Amino acid sequence: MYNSLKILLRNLYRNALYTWINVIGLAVSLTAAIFISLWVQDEYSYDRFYEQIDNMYVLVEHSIENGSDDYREYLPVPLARAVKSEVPEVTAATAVGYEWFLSYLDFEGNRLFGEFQDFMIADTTFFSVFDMEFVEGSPAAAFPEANSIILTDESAKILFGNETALGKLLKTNTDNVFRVSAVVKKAPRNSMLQFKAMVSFEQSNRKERWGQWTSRCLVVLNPNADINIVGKKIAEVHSAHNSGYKADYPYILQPLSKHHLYAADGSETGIKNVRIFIFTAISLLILACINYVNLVTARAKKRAKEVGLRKVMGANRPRLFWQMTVEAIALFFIAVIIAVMLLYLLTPYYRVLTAKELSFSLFDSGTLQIILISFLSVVIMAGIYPALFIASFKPVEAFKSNQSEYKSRFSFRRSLIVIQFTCSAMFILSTIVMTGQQRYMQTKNLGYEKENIFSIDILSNSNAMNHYEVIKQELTRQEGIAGVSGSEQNIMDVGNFAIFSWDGSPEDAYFSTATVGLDRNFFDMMNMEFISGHGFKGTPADSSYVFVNESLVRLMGVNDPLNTTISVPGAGINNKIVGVVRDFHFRHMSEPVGGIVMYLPRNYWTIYVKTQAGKVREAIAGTEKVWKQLVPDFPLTYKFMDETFDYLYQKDIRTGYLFNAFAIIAIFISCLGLFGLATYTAETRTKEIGIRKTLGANILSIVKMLSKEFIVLVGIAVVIGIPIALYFANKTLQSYAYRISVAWWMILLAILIVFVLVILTVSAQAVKAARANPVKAIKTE
Amino acid sequence: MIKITDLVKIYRTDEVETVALNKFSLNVSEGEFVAIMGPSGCGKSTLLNIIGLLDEMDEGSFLFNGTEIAKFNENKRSSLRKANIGFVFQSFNLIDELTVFENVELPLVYNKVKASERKSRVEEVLDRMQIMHRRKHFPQQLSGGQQQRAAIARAVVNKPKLILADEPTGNLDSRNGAEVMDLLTQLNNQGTTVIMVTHSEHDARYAHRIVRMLDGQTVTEDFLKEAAYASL
Repeated sequence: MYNSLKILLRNLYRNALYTWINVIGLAVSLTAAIFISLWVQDEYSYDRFYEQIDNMYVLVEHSIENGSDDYREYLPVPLARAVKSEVPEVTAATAVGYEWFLSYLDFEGNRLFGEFQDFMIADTTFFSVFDMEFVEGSPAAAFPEANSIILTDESAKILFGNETALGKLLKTNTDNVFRVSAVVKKAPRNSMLQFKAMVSFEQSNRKERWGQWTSRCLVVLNPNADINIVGKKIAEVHSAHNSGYKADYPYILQPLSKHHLYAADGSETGIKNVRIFIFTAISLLILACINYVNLVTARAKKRAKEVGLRKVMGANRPRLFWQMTVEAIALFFIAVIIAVMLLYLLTPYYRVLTAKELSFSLFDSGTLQIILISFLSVVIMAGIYPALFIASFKPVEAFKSNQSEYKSRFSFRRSLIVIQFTCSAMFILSTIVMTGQQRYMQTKNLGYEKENIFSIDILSNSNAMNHYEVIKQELTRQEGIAGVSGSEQNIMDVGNFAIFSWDGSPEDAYFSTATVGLDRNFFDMMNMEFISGHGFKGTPADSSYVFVNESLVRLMGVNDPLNTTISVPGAGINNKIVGVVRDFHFRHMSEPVGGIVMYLPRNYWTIYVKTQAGKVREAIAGTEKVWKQLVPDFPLTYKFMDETFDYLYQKDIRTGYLFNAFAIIAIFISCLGLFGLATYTAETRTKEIGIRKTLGANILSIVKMLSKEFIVLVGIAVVIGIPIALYFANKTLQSYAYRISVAWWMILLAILIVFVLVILTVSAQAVKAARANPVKAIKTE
Repeated sequence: MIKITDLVKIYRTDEVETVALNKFSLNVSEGEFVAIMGPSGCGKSTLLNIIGLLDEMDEGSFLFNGTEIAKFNENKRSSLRKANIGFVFQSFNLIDELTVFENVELPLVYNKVKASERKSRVEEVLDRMQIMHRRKHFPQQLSGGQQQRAAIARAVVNKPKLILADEPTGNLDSRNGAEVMDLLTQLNNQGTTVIMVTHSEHDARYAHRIVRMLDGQTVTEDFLKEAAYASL
């Protein structure tokens, strides 16, 4: 044992380059794999900590309109109560939505501001579904009164400092007064519920409205319940309470545990990325192991003499095998130590990159599992095979310096190189395609302008909402501002849907559309294009105008939309369509545009300020001035449309960055291995190179000779890898409603990158070998 | 053909400077057969490497066919070398992975000779060296004598004006050694200049002139016979 260790250390020291290639490759791949696993674990952890998670479901309404499926998570508020009382399998249920109009809570001048997502509204049964930790109060008496409010510990701290919160009265921007009835621990970040405060539907007029689809409905089922039967029953309950709703299709019950990674219809969303990342992590480990196997077997010839001698002295195979395995294990541990240091060092950056509160701890069970799994795979793949290979040398042959004996094994090493670069080619092409897709989404014409326009969210700012026209007038007068307009929901992310019908629409089916109210000058200011008809005219008739987009016309299937009367009861619309607008993106591009109805609204939730080119600062200063004047009690928060857009796509962008980072690491590890092999090849062929140079070979021909084999191998890898990558890239692209197709130049670029990398990696060594003084080379015997 | 004047070559390692050649001068005429002798470390091999344009010199002048090559860069030396000089080594230095034919063919490949012409020239020289029947064998399947004949075949296939032989018989038994020396003499008789480093007095007797070296300098010169084409 001691002897093995001594030889081991000497070997590692003497072959420092190869040792470090192996150690660094392993360490980097372990680091990356553990980082990926932290990410994956986090993705899987969403909502799993709720006690009843195995029986918790999110209700999803399913309908088929004109042959295309439609799924909706936002449902009428009273549905939850009806379902709880009328479907026996449902043991608990709650509606959960947002209290849009709240923008701050005030306790004696101390204000807690929030965006509309920060203030939630739920049934009083909320805590029978979600278990949360109570700091003050109790789940049983969570909402004792209609005006009860529950705060998180963080919110309570902001409002009351260290005083007790229970029983305190809070004023709001809506001139309501709420009494604090409980304080709960803030929900973990990986919970679907994130709020600063929660009120109950008891004080809301939404409580009884079947026509407004504004809240999620979560239910807890009896463990033996059949979700298909329950789904049917829920649809019937809905239709029984709301005559407009037809129970044609059963409700879908999506397990809450799958809510984060799957879409409502069960199709794969986040889970796709999770799989891609798991695949990446495994590839990284395999790539590093391949480096190890390749370098150890390649250098076997050098070891052969030592092994042969040991055999002559009486060492048996198991002993030699043990020695080689110990080497692999020792190397692995050095790698683990470096990986752990890297992990501690890089975690803060990784957190920023992923926007997840990931933390690395060596003693976390997940981390230990990964280390253990990769340890076993490294030892098996990288330790045992080379160990068996080397231990099997026959002593007499090993003494002869004739290397042709071991040539047959080279084909195994060649195939490993092919595997590595197949992976690399796949990663490179995928990176190019996915970057292309992201760029496409980011630069795609949305159908309206998003440059130099910022928006101000005033949904929860009743003061601003009430004085919209005055604010608009004042803003228009400011320097640097080219135009001011407004809409209900932000045009980039319209979430309001309503049932609609039109002259001649089929009686037995119902159709839904997105709806959004727009100010008179919106179409003009945002440069939206009309296919037919006209926009607002600035006359009192404006309030009766209805506009639709191309998609809605297609859905309706009418030839002459302009003379068709359309009825959207939820938005109070029953008028002739006066204009058809070219399709524009009002939600995430993973979904098709879909139909939308536009009209002049009663209230505006969002103000848009268009700045003059190069006068953005003046425009902002002007807006601030107006704000201070007209809405002094609210801070001004504005967001450029570009930022809103990025926010909407930040998950895609982040995942893209992350994938690119790991792909680069994978490619780096492959190149590292190739570098090692190239160095080794150059080393073993020093003499040949010397002879060839003596005979007149120039540097270029030597470099060519040394690189040729690798380039052929990588060529094979490219031929295998590119089609596989194409297949997966196309499959991934399918999940985007608006997507690029893989262009020939992307394939060409991927191939070019692979070869440039390989040539750089290999030729660095080859050039060095080729430049060496031949005199020394031919003397080495 | 070769006119070396005041050649200095110093090997430097970390702290030690070794003067391999110290103001060494030598003239070799076309068609001459010169043997260089001297104890180990006297600078013979260094001299041979410099004449063979494999190594650079530190000081002095080296005219090759009247051209000063002291300042030649690697590329220029390489092209001069491959067109004019053939090498024969003590350890043969055949490439293990290539057959005899391919080994001999190499200089022609590097001199961009056409494939058809290469074949006839290689076969001709293999025939002359009497190893035609071994052309498809790998070096390790040959005896030492055969290996050295293959190496000589490779050295002469390009019809060089100068052959540099570094102890060509050092690894051979006396019968094979005599054969090699006969071959070199034949080549010399056909007009090729030969410079040979050797430890063997017997082999040196084949030459026209013996240069004896010590510590990087010429000690004595023995003129044994007139070169066939001597023009000193």
